[in-house]
Amino acid sequence: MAGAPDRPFRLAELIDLELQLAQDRDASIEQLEARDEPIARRLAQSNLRGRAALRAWLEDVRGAGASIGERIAELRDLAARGLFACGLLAGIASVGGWLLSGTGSPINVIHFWPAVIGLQLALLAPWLLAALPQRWLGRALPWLIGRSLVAALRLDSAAVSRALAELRRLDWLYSRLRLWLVTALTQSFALGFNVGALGAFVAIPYVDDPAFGWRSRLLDAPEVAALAESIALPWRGWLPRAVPAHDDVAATRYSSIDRSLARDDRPGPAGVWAVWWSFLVASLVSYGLLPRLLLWTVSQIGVRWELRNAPRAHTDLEHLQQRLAGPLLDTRANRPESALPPTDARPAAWSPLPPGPVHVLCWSGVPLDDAQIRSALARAGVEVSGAIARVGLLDQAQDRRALAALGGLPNGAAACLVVPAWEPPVGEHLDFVRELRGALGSGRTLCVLLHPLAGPATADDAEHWRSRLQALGDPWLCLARWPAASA
Amino acid sequence: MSAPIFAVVGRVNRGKSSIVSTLAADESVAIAAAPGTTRHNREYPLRVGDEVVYTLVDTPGFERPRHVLAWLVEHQTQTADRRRVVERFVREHADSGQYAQECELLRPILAGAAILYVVDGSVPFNPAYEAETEVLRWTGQPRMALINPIGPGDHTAEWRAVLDQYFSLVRVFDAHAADFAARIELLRALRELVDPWRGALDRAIALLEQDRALRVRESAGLIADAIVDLLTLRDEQRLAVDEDPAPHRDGLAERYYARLREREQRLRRDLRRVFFHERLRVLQGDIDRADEDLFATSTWSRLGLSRTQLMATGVASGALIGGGIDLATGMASVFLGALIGSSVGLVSTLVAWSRLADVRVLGAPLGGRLLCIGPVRSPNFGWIALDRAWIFYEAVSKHAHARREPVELAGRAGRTQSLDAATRQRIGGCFDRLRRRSADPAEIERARSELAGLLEPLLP
Repeated sequence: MAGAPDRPFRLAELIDLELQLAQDRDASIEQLEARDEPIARRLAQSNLRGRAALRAWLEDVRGAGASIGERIAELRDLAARGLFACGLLAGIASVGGWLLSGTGSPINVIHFWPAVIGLQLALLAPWLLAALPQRWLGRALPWLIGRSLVAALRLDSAAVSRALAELRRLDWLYSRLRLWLVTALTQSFALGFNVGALGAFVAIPYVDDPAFGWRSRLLDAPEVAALAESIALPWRGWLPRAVPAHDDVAATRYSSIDRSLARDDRPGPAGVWAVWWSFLVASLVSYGLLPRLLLWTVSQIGVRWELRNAPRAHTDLEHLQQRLAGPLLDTRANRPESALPPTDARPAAWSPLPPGPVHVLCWSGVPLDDAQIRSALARAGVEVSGAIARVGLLDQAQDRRALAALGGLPNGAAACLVVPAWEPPVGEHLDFVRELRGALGSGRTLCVLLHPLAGPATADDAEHWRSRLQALGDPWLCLARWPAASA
Repeated sequence: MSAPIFAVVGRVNRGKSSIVSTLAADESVAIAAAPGTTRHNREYPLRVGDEVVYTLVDTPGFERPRHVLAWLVEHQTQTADRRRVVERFVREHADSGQYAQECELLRPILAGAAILYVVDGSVPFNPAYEAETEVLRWTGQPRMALINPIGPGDHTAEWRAVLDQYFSLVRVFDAHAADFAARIELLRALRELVDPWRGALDRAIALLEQDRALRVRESAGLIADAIVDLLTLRDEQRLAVDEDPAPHRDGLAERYYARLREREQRLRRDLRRVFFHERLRVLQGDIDRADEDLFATSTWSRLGLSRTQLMATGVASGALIGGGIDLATGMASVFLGALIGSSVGLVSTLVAWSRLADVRVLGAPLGGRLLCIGPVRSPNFGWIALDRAWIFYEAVSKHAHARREPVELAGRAGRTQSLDAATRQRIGGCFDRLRRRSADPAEIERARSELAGLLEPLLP
């Protein structure tokens, strides 16, 4: 897939892309991202960019099976072929019918030319209608053609109807493409008509001998000759035989009285009556076939040109391109976070400091010297017995010495461990409290005293300590707050 | 060479997960006030497709660093053996509950991860922390210390003085205030940590900057989309020909403003999604109801054709009939029939349209009156909508993922007043076009595209 050529979209692909984008409008961005993210990753790996990336995305999203775009494009091809065939039949029928009508009188060129060739020019009117700005008449013809196609080809299935309705909403974006598509369709019919008319015109003289003349009450021969010469402008320089001379024009005039004349009784040389044939063939080619062929070719080029520039930028496409754009970083964890353990959100129950002398141990990180600790506890009426032991330092030997010193405490004496309230309790704290209990023996009060950094200990700090100490299951273990400073 | 891995380690509840959450822009990282939330390593790889550019590993906190250090010292035979002693410690205690956290956090480091050691710079240094830094030193892995000030206190200098002795790099990184630039700055610092990883981190920085630019562009597009929708939104209610519109006005206005608010809410959801803040609560008031009269009434039709289409069809039908007459006269009428026919078609269509409301088919009216509301015509509405979107964008695009509390936007100053005159004029031009030509999809698309283009370089 790497380096796949960025070839233009086919009509079916463009329709599918726009329909998919329209459909995506109803989805949430989360859904779209979830769908497009893996596709975008694959595209990035394949180094696909631009239309190739959009095409690959479309294939991924659309999945297997014939798409609605393919169906519409097939219908359009079918319509073009059908219109060509209809035109062909119409051309053969109208020219054949006229030439073989068998009235016996010559075919009046003044009638024939506007009806068969002049009509070609009149048929350009629908194209001009379609080419007008949308806000004028331009919307009517595509609307009528679209409705007629849907009705005639029984395309009233819900999917196609919805798709066509959706595509109509994109008129403003693809009006040129739609114009060329409609033009190509109408020119298919016109081409068919001209090919059929020309074929009939060339073939019928082999099986019949139609004669051409003219009659008119308002026009005389010099005027008709001048008119014919003007019409023959495109070919008179290189095909003078197809331009009726003044004498021929005068010789081929007939009146309603002549209608009863048998063909063998026509006045003048027989070739004179056929001079109009080459004039009419040249007219049919010049004013019918060639302009239609030219317009059909231009419309085909127009369709290709528009498809080459498709898809046109618009908001939905921009959003898709953003979803597909690199580098698609993903910084999320490789597995989901496990649920947090339920917390016992009870507020910490503060205990009073134990009465009587207490033995104090101070954990590393409490920024107080011994005097400050004694003074603070004295404010709460607590007398510190013995030296204050410093524990929790890097050297654990000091912990062991402090624990060993507890052996000499008098009966009933309590112990108090001062800890920095802002430090979260960890295994080391709990281990030490456990060892402290072991050294103190059961039944003695062991108080963990939270020293705050500034002001009273926060509820969070107290709660952290309470919940972890509670796990020790020690009934004589309590949590106390640091005595407030005196005013 | 394998992609860089950084293990974020430190004491419990010192903001490791906050740092990971901000660096990985992942709000799913569990950050709880309770210590010991993280029990297992969790990896946050920066991936581009299947390629991992670097990985952050959030680890559990140290629980018994002094005990670990004592064990290491006890089992050390010579200095060069230190790393092997740490490996032995992990091996021997892998199944012990006592050192489960330490084993878990040491595992990625021993597998080659560089160390990001996190401390709280808002509380004083505690000598007990030296046990942690020492254990990490024993692993022999490259290390950087991050001072993350969680609270209001400032003990950064104190910490820095200690950490400089153990770590080759020490940086202050406030995980709760760090914006995108701060994240990139930290990644740049990490480049200095391990020389062979420099290339990978350069690529990561480039990718993140590219990704950020895409997100800013996407945001500009989303804001432009919303502004377009808000400025062109209209609603309508069909009424019978003789029905009084007055009783319907309030209900329609309520529905209209609900749709405006809903559109703004959608923009907020989208912007939160762009910056991975889906769970973030941002408090911003809703759009107030304007005083201006937004109502209008017109004629409606059940027919599938618009008035223009109907006119075109009338003209074409008339021209066709007239053209037939021209043909029948052998074109002697020189298209006069077509001309007259199209004129008649045009006039009759106009007459038919004005009487459509009175026409009934099977008792049901073909037309009636249409009570319309919107779009908001106030010239300031576009600016208000843009300012609100902009303030919201700034709040979510700069918000660190570690911060979980709601963001209050009330009282924040707008940004549009500080725009230069030329930009203001161009944006105002887009608003005007949207207001004046709110029914022209091509014009709307052009205005939307220009607006997005103007906003993209303005968004931080």
